[in-house]
Amino acid sequence: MIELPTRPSFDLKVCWVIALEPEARPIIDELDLRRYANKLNFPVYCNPENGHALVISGIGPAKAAAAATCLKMLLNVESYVGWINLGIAGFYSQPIGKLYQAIKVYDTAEKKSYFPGVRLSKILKCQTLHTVSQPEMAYLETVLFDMEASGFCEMAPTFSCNELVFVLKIVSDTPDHPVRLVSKETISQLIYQNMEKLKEIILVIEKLVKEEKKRLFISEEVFWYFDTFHFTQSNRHRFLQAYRKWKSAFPSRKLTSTLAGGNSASELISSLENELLIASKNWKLS
Amino acid sequence: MIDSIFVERDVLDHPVSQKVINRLKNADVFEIERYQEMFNRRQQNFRIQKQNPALILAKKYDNFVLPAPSGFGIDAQKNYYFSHMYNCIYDCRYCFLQGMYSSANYVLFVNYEDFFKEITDVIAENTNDSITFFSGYDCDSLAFEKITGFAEQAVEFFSNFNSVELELRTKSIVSDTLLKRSPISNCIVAYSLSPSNVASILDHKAPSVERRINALKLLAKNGWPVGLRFDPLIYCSDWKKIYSELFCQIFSDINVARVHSVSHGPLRYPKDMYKKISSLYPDDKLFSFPMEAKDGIVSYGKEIEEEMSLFLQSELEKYTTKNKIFRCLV
Repeated sequence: MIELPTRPSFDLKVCWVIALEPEARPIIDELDLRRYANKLNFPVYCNPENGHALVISGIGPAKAAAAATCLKMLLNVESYVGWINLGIAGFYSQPIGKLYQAIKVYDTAEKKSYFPGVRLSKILKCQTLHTVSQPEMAYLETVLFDMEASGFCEMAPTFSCNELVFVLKIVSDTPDHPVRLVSKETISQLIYQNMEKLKEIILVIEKLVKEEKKRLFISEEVFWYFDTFHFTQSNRHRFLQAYRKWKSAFPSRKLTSTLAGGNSASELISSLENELLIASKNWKLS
Repeated sequence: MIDSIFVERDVLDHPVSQKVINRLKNADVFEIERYQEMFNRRQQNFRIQKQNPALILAKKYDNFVLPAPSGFGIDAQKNYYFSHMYNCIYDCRYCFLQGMYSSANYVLFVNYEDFFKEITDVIAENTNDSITFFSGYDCDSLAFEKITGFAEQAVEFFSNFNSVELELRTKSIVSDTLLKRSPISNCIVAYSLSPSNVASILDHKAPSVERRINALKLLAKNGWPVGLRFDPLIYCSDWKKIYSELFCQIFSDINVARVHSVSHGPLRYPKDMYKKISSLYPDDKLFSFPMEAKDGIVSYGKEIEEEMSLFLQSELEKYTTKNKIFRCLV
């Protein structure tokens, strides 16, 4: 068990929300996640080196939503981080063990649809998933069945964005192989046998996360000015806007050289805007 | 190419839906109730979604034809637009659609017949006025033609109404639909153009300007009236030189009589839209220019706008008559 500071300083990339321990175990092992001490009822695991964290939610959409929320609060998860709900699912047909991305999730109780994630159709097949309140026995519709995804889809996009929220399901039971025959060992085995594909998916998601992080990135040099000078909320926003434009126009320049003479928030903002204005006379698009 | 099609249950059996599904044989098909449940959802990331947009087939129920915003038009007394599709396969950095919709997915309204019915009604109500109908306001009119077949039907429809004009606004070089049939004098194929080094930086996924110019010249040669649209005008250090070169390139080897109209317009956004688009691409130099925000509109400012407009007007008058040149001010 590891102890981490209240506000972890490590760079999170992906958060996993998984219902059952046997589903989570292969991911915990593969990503070398360690139990993170916390006072909540949801077991949390993380690995500060590779930026992955995982919470075991228990069964049901409400628990999935609550567990995702706990993880978000506990680790202060940033808005560029990817979220994955991985688990087993029922399906109307074989083969057992096939991995799908659920790109339409329908909550049969709430009668509400979700459309999570960028489709990873170059790597795996996409399917519709129904989140049901009781284990599916009839398999009458040509869709996947689970018991958590809708709760996860309700919450996770609010922590990040819809395109960085992924629902991945592995077929564990079908009309020919009902859910009562699925043991804990089988569940883990189904996840292990899809590990290579899951690793491929992780790489794609990490790349998307990296791009989004870059888009939202605020340099440390900005925070230095926020700490050193008094900024009203409005000036803080103006400074950030001006900085982003300025940095895009002059990527190699340092703020300290441009703002050397500034003594107040307004002066600092004006310095950045003036420099852009001077450059606008001879503006290049790239 | 498109790997997923979401179809509203009500239009699953519509002939256009079936044609589209057949044309995209490798795509997975998913049923939905209404396109808004997917398209208007909150917390969507346009930039990431644009990497792999899905196609949504939907039914439109009202507002098939709308009055064009004032300042948008080419000489007609009345201007209307219609949008059989939302979003575009190209990814032009300045495009207002990025700020207009929260989703980058394509929506195709398959009930073309209802568009044509309402257009018929509008024509009937305005028999004494000259009218232009603009297609390609919320999408590119031709870029998706091989999948939708909309332009083919629209041109056929408008061939029955000689007194009203249809503008197909495009950057696409896919003009087979038009070239395989005899031209109609009231359909203007209007090309959006920028200097090639501007387009190569900003018009992502769109055909090069050279290929667009070749396509428009071929259409003109085949008897189609063509339009030239320099909108938005993009400011940079050598803008005068590169716009002059562009005009020279376009007007060489073209029958000027086939040039129906030329229009130009400034780069302008409503403030909130600019904020949204620039936050999608904070590193893009298009958005780091010190723009002016006035009366809720973000632009290069009056001085630059006027200078560019006057220059374009005088340059264009070297090649075509004044009455064919329009300034668009939306």
